[in-house]
Amino acid sequence: MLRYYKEAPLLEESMVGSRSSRPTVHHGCWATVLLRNERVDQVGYRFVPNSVDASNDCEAIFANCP
Amino acid sequence: MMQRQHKGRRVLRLALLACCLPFLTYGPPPAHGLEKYGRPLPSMDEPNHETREEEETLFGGYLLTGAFVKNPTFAARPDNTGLVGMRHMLHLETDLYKQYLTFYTDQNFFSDRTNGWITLSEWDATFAFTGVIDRFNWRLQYEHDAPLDRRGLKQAYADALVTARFQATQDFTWWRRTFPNQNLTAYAGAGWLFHNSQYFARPNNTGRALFRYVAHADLDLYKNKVVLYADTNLFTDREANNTLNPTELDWIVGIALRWKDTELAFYREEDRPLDQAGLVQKYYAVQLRFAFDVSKGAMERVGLRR
Repeated sequence: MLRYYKEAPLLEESMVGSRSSRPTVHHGCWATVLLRNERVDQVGYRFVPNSVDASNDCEAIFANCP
Repeated sequence: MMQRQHKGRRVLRLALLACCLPFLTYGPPPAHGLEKYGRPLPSMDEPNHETREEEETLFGGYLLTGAFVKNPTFAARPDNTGLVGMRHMLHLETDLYKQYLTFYTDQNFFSDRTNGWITLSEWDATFAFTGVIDRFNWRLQYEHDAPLDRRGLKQAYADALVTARFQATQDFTWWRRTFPNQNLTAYAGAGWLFHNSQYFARPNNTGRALFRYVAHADLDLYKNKVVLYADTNLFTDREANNTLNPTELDWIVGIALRWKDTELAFYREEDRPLDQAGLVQKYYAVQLRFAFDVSKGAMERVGLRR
């Protein structure tokens, strides 16, 4: 089993106001890759926290795959 | 815990992963990888635990610099003198306990365009704790605003703020089908300035703020690389007859272009009184943000942490 984590970029997580910033949710994605006989059998995504859709970050984990 | 199996795209994903297998399976199984703030980390296996910890993020942040390209009325000091020319800000934050408790600080500096653009005229310092519980965000913040190039009015407040969040891709299934590369995120809430030292309730520096109502929306036009955003912030006056009635509206609309750890934004802000006529502060600005993170190992290498 392989596990990968990708945190959302900080620029996504902090909004700038006129005098200071305002935080939004720190979030990211765990991707779990199950291998069987040296081949990929299953891929699972888990958002952290689960109340935030972090599918962009899930996709980014595999962005370097051709 | 939410486990999402994208069955419809599984075949494609497997094919893509098969191409990555030489990379993914490198090293003895079971192997684990971790990436925080976009940086790959080594194995999570216990024998390498110290190595992993060394590479974990100690704190993250960003540097911001901006020019108020058109500014007829936005003041450069708390006493409403001058006009802002440049803005510089350092933001630092660190997670103290998962997503539930985060500390951050903003050090925000302005210059006065009527005094040569370079010399700093105001320093606003913010210190805050924040966290997430399901759809709700809380924040406890202290802010202190002071002039830098002369003596004058200083302002400070401490507030508590709670907001609730909405996310189109998660809350509407039809949104994800229709707009796979777009998203709409919004939050709204209310806050209480439980400590207030001369933090005013209108742009003309009258009244004293008591409550704030905030609303924010991000329209992600393409994979968080092009984002339209809008933000509103209303204050009420603790000296007014109705302390729940808003006396000031601050709004911002802008567009942000992001590439890796850099963001270029163009935005407009207007702060106006709501319950009487008076000064309206407004400007157009262009700003750059550069994000960074510092690992525990980096601090040890420069001798600041053991």
